[in-house]
Amino acid sequence: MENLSLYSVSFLTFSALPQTALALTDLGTFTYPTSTALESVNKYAVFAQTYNKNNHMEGTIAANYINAGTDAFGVTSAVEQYVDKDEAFCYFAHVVGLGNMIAANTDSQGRDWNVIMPDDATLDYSYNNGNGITISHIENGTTVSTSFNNATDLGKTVSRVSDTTYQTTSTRPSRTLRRMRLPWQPRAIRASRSARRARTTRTPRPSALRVQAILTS
Amino acid sequence: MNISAADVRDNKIIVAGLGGVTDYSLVINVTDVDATTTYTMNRQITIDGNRTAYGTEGGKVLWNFGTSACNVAFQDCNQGPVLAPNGSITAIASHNGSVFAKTVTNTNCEIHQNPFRSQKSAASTTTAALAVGAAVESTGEAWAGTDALAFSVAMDPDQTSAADALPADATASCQAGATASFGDVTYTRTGDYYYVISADASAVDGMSAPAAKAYAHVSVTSLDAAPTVTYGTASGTYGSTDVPTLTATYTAPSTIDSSTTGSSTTVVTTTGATVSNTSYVQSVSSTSSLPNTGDPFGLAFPACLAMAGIAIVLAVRPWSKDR
Repeated sequence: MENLSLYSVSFLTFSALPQTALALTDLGTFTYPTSTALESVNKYAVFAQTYNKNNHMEGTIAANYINAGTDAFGVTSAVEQYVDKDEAFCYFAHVVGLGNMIAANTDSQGRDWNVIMPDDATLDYSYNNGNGITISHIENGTTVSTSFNNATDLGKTVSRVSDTTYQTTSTRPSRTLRRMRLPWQPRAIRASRSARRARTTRTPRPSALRVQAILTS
Repeated sequence: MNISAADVRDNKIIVAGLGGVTDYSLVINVTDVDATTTYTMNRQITIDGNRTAYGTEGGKVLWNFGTSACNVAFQDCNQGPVLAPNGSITAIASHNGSVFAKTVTNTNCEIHQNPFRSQKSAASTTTAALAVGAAVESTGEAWAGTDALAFSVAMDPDQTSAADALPADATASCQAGATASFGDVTYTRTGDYYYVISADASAVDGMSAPAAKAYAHVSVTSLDAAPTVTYGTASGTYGSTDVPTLTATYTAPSTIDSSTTGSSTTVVTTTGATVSNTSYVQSVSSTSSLPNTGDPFGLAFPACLAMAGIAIVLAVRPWSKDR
């Protein structure tokens, strides 16, 4: 495989709260990006330090900060073919505008993904006579909450960051991702730059990926 | 492949597999990004002729912004996952592709999950072996040597291969009449591969390596099946599955009979070959009635005898006088 490129990913710098002694919910583990694959990162529709969700979206999300709009999020039938059901999460380390988080999409199985909420969130399962869930936390000194008549209206499970096995490793990938490396960019770019420095007119080799990309004005 | 940010912004992007191949993936490295510029990618992109909201083709192309702190808005260029770990990506038209970036925003549009499906990480491989036969054509005396003839294989520079794929050892050798087999070539992706097989310069005196080359085409249509190997005598022309033969030319060496009588010498060539080309001289037989003194004219030995006689005469005269 080629030399690695540097990707200074600075997102997902989690600030986990002290963990409790409770048993962790086994939701699998985050797989680090490697020199050859995006791994777990590629399991998401959006993977970001900050995600400003200003409209409807379709897919899973991992965000350190999400500015939650009112539009629904999560997997739909249209995109579920691209979702790894064994690693399907909506992972929010911090939420801004929690009260706007009021709707989730549905796929052919209902809501076949796990929701991981911030550690500062309180999960109250007494809502709707014990069938629903209320999630609350404090934003700017004010308690903000959102409720669902059924907990599964949000996702098949709802956890907090520190309560899951996914969290125990996902704090590490956050550091790893800061120096995320992928194989494909750098060498070619370096060659291109050196070629420019040399002011040569050598025609680049055709794409080794057997793809012709045609530029037309 | 690399495309500058400005070119992406200013041009329609058409992505298609060569020869209609569809099982590919493409990483587009977006270069020359000015961090102070907001790029709005508002020219269309088609992948395999399609431009859909959810189609699988969206996962074939990855927009890779590397480490740049880019500010990019994807509008009509709205297919393909985006990787910009230090960048800010805003979707302003529904985007058929996942977005991995420092900051992601979708405004008045949707982001549709569609991961990058890299063909590069495919674990499957298939192999094929290339070979070439060796023959010797003699001029004059037939060559009866057992020296091996050496060959090498390389990617044909006159053809566009799917990728560079060569055996671990790109050289092979064999005796005349045999077949030299190169090691297996491992293919990790489908496509067409083109090779040129050349004979290396011979170390055998009198042996001229064939100027002709053999050409091979390996068609890998599936990593689950054996590739098809065909050969030809010219680049771009293939059709035979038979292993080609490259023929070296052997010019038999000359034999020189040098005989000396007295002070005269005659040189006779016995094979009719070109004597002036001394590299072809394999052996020289020399016959003479005199001892081999290294003197081709035979003068040194008589001269020595004469000098020895004079020395004896000079030595004997004082001794006789004393008596």
